[in-house]
Order: sequence, then C-alpha cells, then structure tokens
Amino acid sequence: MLAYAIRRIAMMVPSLAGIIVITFILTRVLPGDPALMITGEQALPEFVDKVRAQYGFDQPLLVQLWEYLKQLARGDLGYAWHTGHPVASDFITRFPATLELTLSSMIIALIVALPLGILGAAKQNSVFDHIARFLSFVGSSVPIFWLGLLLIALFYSKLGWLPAPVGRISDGIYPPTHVTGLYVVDSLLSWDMVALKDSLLHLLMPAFCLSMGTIAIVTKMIRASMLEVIKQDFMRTAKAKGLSEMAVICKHGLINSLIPALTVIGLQFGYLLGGAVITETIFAWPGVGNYVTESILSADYAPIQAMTLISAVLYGVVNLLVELLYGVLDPRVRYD
Amino acid sequence: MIKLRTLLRNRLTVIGLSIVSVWIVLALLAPLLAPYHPNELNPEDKLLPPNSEHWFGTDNFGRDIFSRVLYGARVTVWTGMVSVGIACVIGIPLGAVAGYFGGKTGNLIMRAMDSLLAFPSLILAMALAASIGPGLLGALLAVGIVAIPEFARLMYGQTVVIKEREYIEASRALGVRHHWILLHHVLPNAFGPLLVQITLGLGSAVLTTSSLNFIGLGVRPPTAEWGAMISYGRDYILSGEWWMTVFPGLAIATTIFGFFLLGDGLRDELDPHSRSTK
Repeated sequence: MLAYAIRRIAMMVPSLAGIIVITFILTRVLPGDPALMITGEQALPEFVDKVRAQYGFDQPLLVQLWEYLKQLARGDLGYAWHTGHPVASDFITRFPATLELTLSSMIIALIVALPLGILGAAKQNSVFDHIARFLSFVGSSVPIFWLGLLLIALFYSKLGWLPAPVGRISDGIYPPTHVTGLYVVDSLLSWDMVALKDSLLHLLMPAFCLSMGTIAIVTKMIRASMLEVIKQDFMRTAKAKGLSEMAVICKHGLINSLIPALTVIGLQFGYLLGGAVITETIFAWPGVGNYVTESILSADYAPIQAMTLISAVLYGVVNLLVELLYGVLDPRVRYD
Repeated sequence: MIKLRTLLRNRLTVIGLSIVSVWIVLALLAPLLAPYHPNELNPEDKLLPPNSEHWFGTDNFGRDIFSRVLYGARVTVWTGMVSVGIACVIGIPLGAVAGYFGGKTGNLIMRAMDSLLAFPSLILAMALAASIGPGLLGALLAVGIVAIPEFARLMYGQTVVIKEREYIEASRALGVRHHWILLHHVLPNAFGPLLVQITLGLGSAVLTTSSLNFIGLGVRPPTAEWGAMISYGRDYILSGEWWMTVFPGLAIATTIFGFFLLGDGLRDELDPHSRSTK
C-alpha cells in the first residue's frame, strides 16, 4: 500500500503541473487584463502600463510562466491588496476556520445520510425511503445561499434559538487557547465549556447549511449501493444464519455499500470547498471562503488565484486518501 | 432511442418536465405576463409585502418582485442554455476526437480535461468569472468552461465503446471518412447519455450561475436575476422583509429540481440498471 501511495503521489505531479498551468492561464491568457485588475478600471493608461511592466505582464507568456513557477516554488502566493498582507499568511490565519466548517458539515452529512440511506434501502418504498428520496432531490436543488438566509431568518431572527450569524464565537466570550485553530477541539482540549457551547452554537447553522448538498448526494449513493448489496448471496446467507435484520444490514450491508459511497464522499470535498465560499459569506465566518469573496468584491486577484490552486491540490490529496481507504474497508482491494 | 410515451409513464419525470416547461413558457412570455417593468422604481411603494397589486411584494426600490422573478427566468433560461451550449460545442468534439483517434492527441486532450476536473467546480467558475471580468458574459463563459470536461469525458467514454462496433468497422472498410463516421454514427449513438448530461448540466448551470450572481460575479444592477435578487434581499431578511429572498429562491430551487427530476427520469429510461435501484 505504501508503494502504491508513493506511486499515486508521483502520478499527482503531472496533474499538479496541469493545475498550475491552468491557474496561470486564468490570470494571464484570458481576456481580463491583470494590470487593470490591480489598478482598477478608472486608472490612467500610463499608470496601468507602469504596473504592467512592474509585474512583468508585458513579457512573453513563457517568461511569465517561468516567473510564476519560481514564485510558487518560494511559497509566494502573491500579495493581497485589500488586507495588506501576503496571501500565504492570510490563508494560514483563516484556514482553521474553513477546516472546522467543512469537517463539521461532513460529519453532519454522514450522521444524517448514512441512516437515512440505509433505512431507505432496507425498507424500500416505506416512509423512510420516501424521505430519503425526497431529501436527495431537494437537497441538491436548494441553493446554499438561500437555505442559509432562511435558516438565519428562522433560527436567529424569528425563534432566537441560535446566536447572531456573525463569526465563530460571540463578542463577549474569549476564544479558547490556540492549539489546532479549530475552536470546538481547542475548547475541549482546554476544557473551556463556555467557549465550547458558544462555538458549537455558532457552528450549527453554517455547518448544516453547507452539509445539505452532501446529505443529498450521500443519501442517494448509500441507498442505491445498499439496494445492490441487499440482493447479494452473502446477505441471504447472513440472514439464513439467523442474524437479525439489523445485524445483517449494519455488519454486512453497510461495509460493502460504503466503497462506492466513499468515492462520492471524497468528491464532495471539492463541493464543500466551493460551498464554503458562499456559506462563509452569509454567516460572516472568518475563513478562507469569506476572504475569497472579499477579494472578489475588492477586485483583488491574487487570493482568488491562490484559493483556486490550493483547493485543487487539497482536492487531489483528499481523493488520494479516499483511494487508500478502499483497502482498509475492503481487504480484497489490491493496490497494483 | 427514448420513447416519449414510456418516459411519460414515470410520474417524477412528468413533474420535472412540467416544471421546466412552465419556467420556459414564463420566460418567453415574461413581457406579456409581467404587470410592471422589472426595473420600474416606485420609492413610495418600497418594501411592500405580497398584496393584490404586487403578488410577490416589492423590493427596497419599490420594484415589483413578481415581474422581476418572471424576467429573471429569461436570464436563467438564457444563461443555462448558453453555458451548457458552450460546454457541448467544445466538450463533445474534444471527447469524440480523443476517443476515436486516441494516441498522443487523445491522451493530451483527456489529461487536460482531468486537470480541469481537479478543480472544485464553483471555485474554478469564480476564478474564471473574476478573471474574465464582471458582467453576465463572464459568468456564462465561466459556467460553460467548467462544464466542458464533463461532456468531454462522457463523449470520450461513449466513443471508445461505439468505435469498436461492427457498423463502424464496416464504414471504415467502405472508405467512409472519419469526420462522417463521427458525425453520422458515433454522435447519434451517444445521443441518449448526452441528453441526460445536458439536462442535469442545465440544473447545475442554473445553480452555479445564481451562486456567482449572488456573490457579485455576474449580472450588473439593475438586471433582474434570481441570485442577484436574493443578494439584495439579504440585508432585509432580518428586518422581516422575507419576500425579497423567498420568491427568487423558490424560483431557483424549483427550476433546478425540475431539471434534476427530468435528467433522472431520462437516465432511468436509458439505463435500466439504474432503474433497478430506484
């Protein structure tokens, strides 16, 4: 498995090269003028020319690509005008918030989707099945930004059950001692129950909102693969052995239907990163997604470019991990 | 090929087809059906809740939300069709060429498509729209470009299978030119799966475009577009003016719902295996 992992990481190199070239093309080859993006559309032509020369945008494309590669090799992701900091340091500061949000929404999605998908398949055409099918359609049709606003209107504005949808923790409460940057984990590590309760309450709405699309697709996938697995001979054998229906479904059915679902879960990580941009904007969540929206609104291009690059790399790494997990779930999987 | 009668036996497909048809008709007839011009400002009527004169209420400029939702349907139908059209026009030939000829060119095309697929789609669409520049055209191109690899991959897979069939071999033996084989044999035989992808792609395109418009990458004010309308309504939802957000959101959700139901129904019809797990 280790040899396979190393080989797969090596295979990511050409893919990474493709990702870098595409990110480069995004800024330098498409119709938009990067110099104009930095100076603003109202700038004097002389100033735009000066900026163009300063950043080497007037050089041949191959020279520009080489310079871009050198810049990336130095870990330099550019400079964010709107914050006045290097993009890399802005990312490091904000990434834990995004990680906490995406991980929580994945956990919520699995908690809801796994039982619903299993029940839907085990009791086909029952109420559970109808709920599972309805949710998988509705969940993928409802835009995150709309759902987020409806949740705010209901749970904050109308019912007052959840705190104001601003940030990760209420104003009067000290954030927990920094260990991982994930407030929930850090509050547990420092046994700060006040911070834990408040950060969990802040996390609930955005994480649920972001999880909706994943709930839909994972429910659909688990249900479909479970329906296939239920028909297999080993399931009949397990029943014939006298195992209870619950044991047959959970012990034999679930583990076998998890592999196709796992692929989808891995692919959903990309969806969650994209969705985080929208969710963080709505809930003023101080993560990378909100930072990217701020950059879009202030026409600050470097952070958007960096986010594109980093998210593609992260997406690749997560999918590699998922592939390696196949072998853990199913020992028959061979990594040749 | 898909038989319409068989297709219409599936209740969910009929619901999907009806929803999509209703929105297309509303989009086409918007100038006739809308009681007000979508950009007509009436400051004295601002933020009115739904009533007999303004069925969906009015926004902060006094504009009639019902009329704006109807006109928004035109933008949505248009953006969905153009962006999926871009993806088809570029993606299908690329996939067909890569699958049919294979070799280094095919490999290069498919690796380029894989690199595009390595990006989370919404983030790539945002980066593209931001680099092309503000405006609906940027959003359209961005959503279209992001969808290209999906069509290319599907067409590649179909072509690789179809090109091994006997009738293709027979055509080649008769000396029929490659482009003729691709156009007259490969493309028609890949039509079914492509139709499913187009339908599902339209739903995804509506979702991505409205998301781009919501975060400010897309139409410019005062154009009536559903995502942008929700963005305007965002500042008012806490003060109770829910209608500015709820109606455009319902419009987006029902449209996407319709396309996804229809796409699923078409897939069931074309792939009996998928129907067995329904």
